[in-house]
Amino acid sequence: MKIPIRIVSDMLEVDAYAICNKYNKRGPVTFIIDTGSPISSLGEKDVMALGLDVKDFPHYTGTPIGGIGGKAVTYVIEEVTLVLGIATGSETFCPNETLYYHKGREYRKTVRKEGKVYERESLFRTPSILGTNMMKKYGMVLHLDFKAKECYLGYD
Amino acid sequence: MRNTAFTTLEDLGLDRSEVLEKIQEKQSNQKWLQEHMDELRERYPDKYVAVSGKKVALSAKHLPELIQKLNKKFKEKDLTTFAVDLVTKEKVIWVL
Repeated sequence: MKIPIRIVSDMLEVDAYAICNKYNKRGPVTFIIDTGSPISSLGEKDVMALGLDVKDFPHYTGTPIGGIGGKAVTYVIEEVTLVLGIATGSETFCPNETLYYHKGREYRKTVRKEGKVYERESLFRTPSILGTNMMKKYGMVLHLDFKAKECYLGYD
Repeated sequence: MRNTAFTTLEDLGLDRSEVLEKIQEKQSNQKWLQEHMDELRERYPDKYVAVSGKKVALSAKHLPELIQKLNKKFKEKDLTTFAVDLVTKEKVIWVL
């Protein structure tokens, strides 16, 4: 049984269908597989496209979560069911998972001494991430062969 | 099939063909966006774009603005099927 993974710009993408039971929202979400992340997250664009409202999410209060961009304000998205492998008939159900949402940086304005106002922006692009917690929990094996361009999630 | 609490999509109240269609539509839009990224950099530098049906449906400077515009213009459409991404003026290597 194989859940296909696409290699796009040397990143690993897997298709899922997300059902946010608590908020009655659902839709396809593309996750980046990140073996360096022990948690899984929904990216900003996916949260917004699903019609989820950050104001409904409880704040995450556990151990701070950091990345290359530093620490982000994190929210908890509870009761999310993910279904992987639909396109190939190899459905894997990950029911009632807790995902996280890392809020993008705010836009800031800086006033210079000369009286000129410059708008400083941070480019923030958070993808949805499938972390190692999911692979571990569901016993998934990541098969990755860049040379053969073959990549999939399978099971023992 | 790997089973947990559910055995089929129907158990979740989902229609298989509808779900599959949406996943494929999103995939197709993402593929088009990826393939046309270089030319989009010239037309939409540092803007968020939403792609549907092999064209840019809308663009905006900020993501919330784009989603708001999409909701207004495509009331009947499922926004999750659009490919949405930030088109940076210059190529950026994103790390997680």
